[in-house]
Amino acid sequence: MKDKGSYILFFAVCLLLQILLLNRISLTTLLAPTVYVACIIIMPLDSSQFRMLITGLLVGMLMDVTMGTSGLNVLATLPIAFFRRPILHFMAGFSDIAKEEGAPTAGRLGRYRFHRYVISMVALHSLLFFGFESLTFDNFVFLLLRLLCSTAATLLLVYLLILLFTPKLSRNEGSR
Amino acid sequence: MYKLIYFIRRTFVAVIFIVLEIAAIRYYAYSTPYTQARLLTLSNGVVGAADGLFNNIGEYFSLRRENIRLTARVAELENRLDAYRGIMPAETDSLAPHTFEYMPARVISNSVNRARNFITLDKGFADGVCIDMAVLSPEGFAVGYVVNCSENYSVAMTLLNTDFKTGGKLADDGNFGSIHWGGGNPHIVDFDEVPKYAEVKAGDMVTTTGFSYYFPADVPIGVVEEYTLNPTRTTYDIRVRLSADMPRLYNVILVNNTASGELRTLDTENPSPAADRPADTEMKE
Repeated sequence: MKDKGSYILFFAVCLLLQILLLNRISLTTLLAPTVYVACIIIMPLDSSQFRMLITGLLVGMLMDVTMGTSGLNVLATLPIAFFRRPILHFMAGFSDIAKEEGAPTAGRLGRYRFHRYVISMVALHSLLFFGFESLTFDNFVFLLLRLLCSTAATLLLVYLLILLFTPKLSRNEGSR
Repeated sequence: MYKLIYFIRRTFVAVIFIVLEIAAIRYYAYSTPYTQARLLTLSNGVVGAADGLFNNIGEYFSLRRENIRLTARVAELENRLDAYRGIMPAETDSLAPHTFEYMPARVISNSVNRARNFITLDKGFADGVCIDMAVLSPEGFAVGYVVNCSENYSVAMTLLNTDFKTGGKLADDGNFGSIHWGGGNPHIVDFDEVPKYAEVKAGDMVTTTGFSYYFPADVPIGVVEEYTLNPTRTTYDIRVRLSADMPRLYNVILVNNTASGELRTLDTENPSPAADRPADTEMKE
């Protein structure tokens, strides 16, 4: 990671946004954005799996403590942290992960690959989060609507944050 | 050692992931009674399905042992039934004395594609098998009779042997005829010499006559598939579909007629009654 300050700022904004704002407002039960997933999405491409796993664990635990969800955030965040490399490879078709470093931005991955990568990560996280939260398909339509609305809201916020921080995070993009 | 270290280095992150994920699920599961109940139900469903699958596989592999056990049980029950017939002749069949003994055996070789087919059984003199014992399928259908016996094995001639001939009768009508196999289809035998006055129709059951030295009476042989009058229009030529599935015969029941020796002696000493007895189950050669 070349620019630690930018990452710390990004993490702080993401987590505070989630804790102080998104966890407190409740417009409708269909909307429960989990914007903290951006912390995992934006981790540098050369991050080891172990580092990804520890980051996922810490972020998940922090969210569990602040949301009072007893392990739900950890069990949804750990898989996306652990499987980020296969997702980049299979879902986004990005095979040169080992050679890359820095944040996975649209500039590095290409716009199309970047969108597929972000959507895959957010969708997997939301699926695990809301699936485990519900633990039943009795009210399938509501679950599906909640999943779709929350995923859409999360994606919107994640894109917004990445857009805001891309100039800082991709500062060393040209120097590769 | 180096390979072990390499293996641990390659897999330890995956192991940590699995451990952490399981811990998180467990922690979440026990956080509220609802999650505990839901995850327990889910887990029971998965474990139950897996158990069911392994159980089915296990049952499949134990089918052979189960078949042998069931055949033994059938033989034991046939013996008991025969004993009850002896005790209560008035209520069952007063003409059927307790003369038959049953024992199970396993088929260790079987042929159906030759003109003279035999089956080899895993029981011999040492187990109480003797020549002339009848062989039935586990369902109680006629199969053949023992023609040779060693200490531990025996050979039986089956209905699918061109030398085999036995008496048969139409179960409903009671008219007799002669059963033999002409070769070819291993599921069909010929039932000839049935009087033209017999009321025969397709689907009628054909059974043993009870005049045989070997077979008990009324043992099913097969069902009438088609019938025609012979060229002289005096008797019916009937094609009978065998009840026993001869190509797939894995277990059989041996039947010993304890009175056959006495009957033979009587027939030899008094040839006239023997002339009336159909020359059933006699080898031509």
